[in-house]
Amino acid sequence: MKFFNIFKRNLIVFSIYILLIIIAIVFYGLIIRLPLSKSIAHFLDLIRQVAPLSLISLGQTLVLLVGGIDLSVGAIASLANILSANFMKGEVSLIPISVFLTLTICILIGFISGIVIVKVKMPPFLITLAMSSVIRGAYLLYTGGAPRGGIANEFRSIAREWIGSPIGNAPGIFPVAGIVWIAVFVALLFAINKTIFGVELYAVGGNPRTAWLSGFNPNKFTIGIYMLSATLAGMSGLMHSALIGGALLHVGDPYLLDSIAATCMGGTTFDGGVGGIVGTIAGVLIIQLLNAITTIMGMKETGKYIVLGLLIIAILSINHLIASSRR
Amino acid sequence: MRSDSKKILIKCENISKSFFGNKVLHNIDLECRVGEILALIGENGAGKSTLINIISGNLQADNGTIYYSGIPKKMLSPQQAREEGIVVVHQQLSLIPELSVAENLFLGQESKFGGLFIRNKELHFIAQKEVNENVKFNLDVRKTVSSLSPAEKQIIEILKAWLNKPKLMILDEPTSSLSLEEVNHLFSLLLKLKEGGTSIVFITHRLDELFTISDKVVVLKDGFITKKTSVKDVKKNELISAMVGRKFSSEIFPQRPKEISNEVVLKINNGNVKEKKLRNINLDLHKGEIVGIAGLEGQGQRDLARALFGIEKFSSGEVYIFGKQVKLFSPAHAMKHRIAFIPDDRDLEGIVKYMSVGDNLILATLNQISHMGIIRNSKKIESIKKGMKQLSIKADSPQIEINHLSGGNQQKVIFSKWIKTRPMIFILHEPTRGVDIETKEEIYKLLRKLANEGISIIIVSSDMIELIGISDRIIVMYEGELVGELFGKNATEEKIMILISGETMENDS
Amino acid sequence: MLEGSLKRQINLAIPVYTIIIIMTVAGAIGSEYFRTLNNYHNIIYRVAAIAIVSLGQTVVMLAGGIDLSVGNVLALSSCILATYNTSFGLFPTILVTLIIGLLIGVINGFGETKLGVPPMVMTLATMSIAKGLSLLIRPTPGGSIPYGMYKFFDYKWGLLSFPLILILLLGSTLFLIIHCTKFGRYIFCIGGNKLNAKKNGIPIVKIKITSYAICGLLAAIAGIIMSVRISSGDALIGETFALDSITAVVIGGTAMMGGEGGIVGTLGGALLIAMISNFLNLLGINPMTQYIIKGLILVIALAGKVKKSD
Repeated sequence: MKFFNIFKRNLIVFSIYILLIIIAIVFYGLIIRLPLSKSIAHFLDLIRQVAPLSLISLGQTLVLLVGGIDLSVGAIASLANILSANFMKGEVSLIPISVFLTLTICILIGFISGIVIVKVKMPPFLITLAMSSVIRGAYLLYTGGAPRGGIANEFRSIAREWIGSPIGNAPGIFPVAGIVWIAVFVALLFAINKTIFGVELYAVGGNPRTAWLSGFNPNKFTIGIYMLSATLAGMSGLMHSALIGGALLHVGDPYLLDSIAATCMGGTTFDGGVGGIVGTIAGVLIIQLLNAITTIMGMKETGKYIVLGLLIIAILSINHLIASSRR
Repeated sequence: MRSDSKKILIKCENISKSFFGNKVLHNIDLECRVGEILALIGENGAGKSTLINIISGNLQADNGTIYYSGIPKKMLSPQQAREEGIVVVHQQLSLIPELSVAENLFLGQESKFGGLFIRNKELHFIAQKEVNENVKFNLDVRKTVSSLSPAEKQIIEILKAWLNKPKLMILDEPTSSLSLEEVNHLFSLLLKLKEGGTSIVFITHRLDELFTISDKVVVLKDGFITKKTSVKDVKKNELISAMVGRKFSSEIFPQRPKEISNEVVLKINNGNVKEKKLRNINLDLHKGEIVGIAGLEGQGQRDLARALFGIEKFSSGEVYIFGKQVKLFSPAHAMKHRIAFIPDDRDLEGIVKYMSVGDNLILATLNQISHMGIIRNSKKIESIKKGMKQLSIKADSPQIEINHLSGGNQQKVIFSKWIKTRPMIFILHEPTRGVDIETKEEIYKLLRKLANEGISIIIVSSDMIELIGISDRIIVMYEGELVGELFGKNATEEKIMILISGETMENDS
Repeated sequence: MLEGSLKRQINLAIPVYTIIIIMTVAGAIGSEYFRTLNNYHNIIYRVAAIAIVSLGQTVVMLAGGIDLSVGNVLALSSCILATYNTSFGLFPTILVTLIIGLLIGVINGFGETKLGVPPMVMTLATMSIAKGLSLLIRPTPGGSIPYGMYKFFDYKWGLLSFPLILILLLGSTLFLIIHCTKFGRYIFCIGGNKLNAKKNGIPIVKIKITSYAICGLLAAIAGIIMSVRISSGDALIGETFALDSITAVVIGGTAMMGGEGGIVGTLGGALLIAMISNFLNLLGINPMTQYIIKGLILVIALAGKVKKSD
């Protein structure tokens, strides 16, 4: 009986994971038809590639849960990519300081966005939009259009290497990048389910007035969430740096809309207080699988965009149906 | 003409309605004639709103028939009700704030002013004419609705309904935020409507009003009609009896203690809240005492309660708790001083709708069940179990969303949540609003129990019977000031009513 | 005599136009080239696409929605026009382009009202679909625009040019629709207070779908203009238009949630955005600063609104 209640309450999350499994089965079973071991290896590589998107989507989910939205995450990731290469200059010894500086700047950006949204009471959509424009202009000016520096090879290992790998970057048991984002996911899961943070998150997101009248400080908390989102976006940018080994312009841009899509597919709504990070991960994996599917089928970008668009509409309509039948 | 006015416009036959297995209307038989003003009275939760929602098509009755001009109709949609000439004017207005008064008045009727393009100037001109003819005070129809006072909005809302030439106008507590003068404006408008042949059904809590203006009065109590009579054939206390009946035997209210302690737990000295126009508030709250604060809507009692919880700020004056002066900066701060507060609007400020019952229960006492920020699951489960048992909260499991609970149970969750904080001062704003009789009784018992244990309670309520029944002392507020004090056992509705309307009593106590 | 919503939206547009006037004066004084007719036409041509898209976005936002797909509908139109005009004839192709824009708008409206998908996500989805379709038709930029069409758009007659006429025509049409018709009034109602609009019997579904349809149609028109300008079709051309149009609308005084604002302000906002890069170029300032300036202007415009509501 108890399990049934949990099932009912999280119907949307269950459904999205079932969808994920179906897509995976269709892909690995029907489309590419590789032996099981090769399929698993491919999927694990998927888990590796999905690290930047996962991190950024987790942050976006938290912001949506608290009733806001963060359109600057793409720009922050791009900034982190550029800054990390710029500070690191390819030197191992500079890794710690460049990571530290990059993330500090990201946290600061999150703080500014948060303060303006909360204290000056401006709509998050527009503030984070403005912020992304400012960040973009800033790094374009700073780099003059040509990002400098480089990523040390040792740092790249977090994106490229595997645990239990025979040599170099060959696939092994589990990708390091996967461990990184899954660790973050698990940490957030713990915080949400087992600590006051989680209760406060859903209270502030669900009804900030009630939360305030219950002794919380929704303003401070919201600012904290924007800082957290910016940090995760920064980490995402760092992961991307490690992936590509250098800095390019605007690498984070595609992540923005994907993060929103993944979050919404996973059942989180824009009102706040509804949804969660578990669903988001399924959304992220679905998007990545879709990429793989369309690439392998030779559809290139065209197919990916059309299928993603249709999938978003389908999933959200169904989510809406499920949600309204429960009210 | 006489035969016309005797014609029946609406007839309800054997109407019943249930929500979640709770029967809220039992076999209602009711009629309203053309050009008649009918007052519908009853306590909170008696079924008045449900009844008018059924008549106006917003809800469907479970049983029974409604005859509109003699024709029986089982189901009616809001659109069809409009076509029948039934218009409802709710307390929550239907005006669009960014549009002008004129644009609002003719909302939906723009075709009268042009085919493709609206002749806006003409629209405003006609609107101004209508306003000048029917409303006693000056109003420029070019003003945006957002700039109007609540009273002006109410009157415009009614005028707008009337411009549709309705056969039946239903008003839900039209006078709750109006001053005496504004009520008079309203009534002259209503009389004009009546002369024009419109029937009016209005819900009110103010008994004196209905004697001024209505022809008939219908009393609802717990979903039954307990009195249906012409206004000239009945007296006010008969109406009160029909409204409250059993309650008056005071079985529902626990006994008051013989004596109240002298220890002053909370003292307000010359408190002012400039923004909310509260002035000269002097109040002593004793240990274990229940103080009720009465007042018509908007007379300051709401703001006083909220200032004591740090929601509003005292602009001057001092507040002392257990003799120490304190400044109440925020709810969190007030909580530190062992104050608890239950707001009047559950949905808005009392609960987190989509969160579970359990999470709502522990929302204010997370520190008690956690260590260094991490929640101890065993303590959480125990706390929730205790909370649910203590107030007999009826829910299938603490995991379900709180908005699946009935109003009464939701209120119990809120109570339980605050009791867990072990407050010394408990402030309640409309504690039994939207709550069934059974739960009300439980709540009153609970409040007296808490008071006997030494907790001091302030209740702000619009339910005078409730205040009389439960308070040791009643304070009345009028226009932001404290205007009178009555002791519980000596208080009567009449005395409160006098003070509440700003008049003074000839002999005190 | 101006009444009601008309007067208010002009009030809201005052800040934008003040800035434009200041910039124009500053530009005229600071740069010789700024004063040339050539530069004027340059600006107008740049403004055209963003202004037309912003007009559509205004309608949608006034009704309380948002359309992120405009940029890619624009790109899709450019791809269709550039690719098919030779095979199917110019005017049939233009017609199909416009219809497709309209259709996408209807789908957006349908998604929000009937499928319950929040507008931000719905238009994100259609944006993705439009992008995919564009890439399908034109994997790389190319195609061709008939020379006659190019000449027609480029023809200048004193201060007039076709793009300008188009802006003024569409602008005034939309102005009339929004501020002088029943439909327009209802849009304000829905944006201002959806619940109350429902209480008044306003057909929310019909109006919402129509507002998105108008937006889609205008995005398609803007796409035609763009493709003439670049003499080709490009699937990636519209990327910044979605957020730029929203910026233009907000700067012009329309509220994010709807119910307040209007066409006059939006045109000012679009003009301002187009002027910024032109301005910076002429004054010799690094054009990359335009992003920072855009962001700051948005914040300032919002701050102005917040202050007013206090």
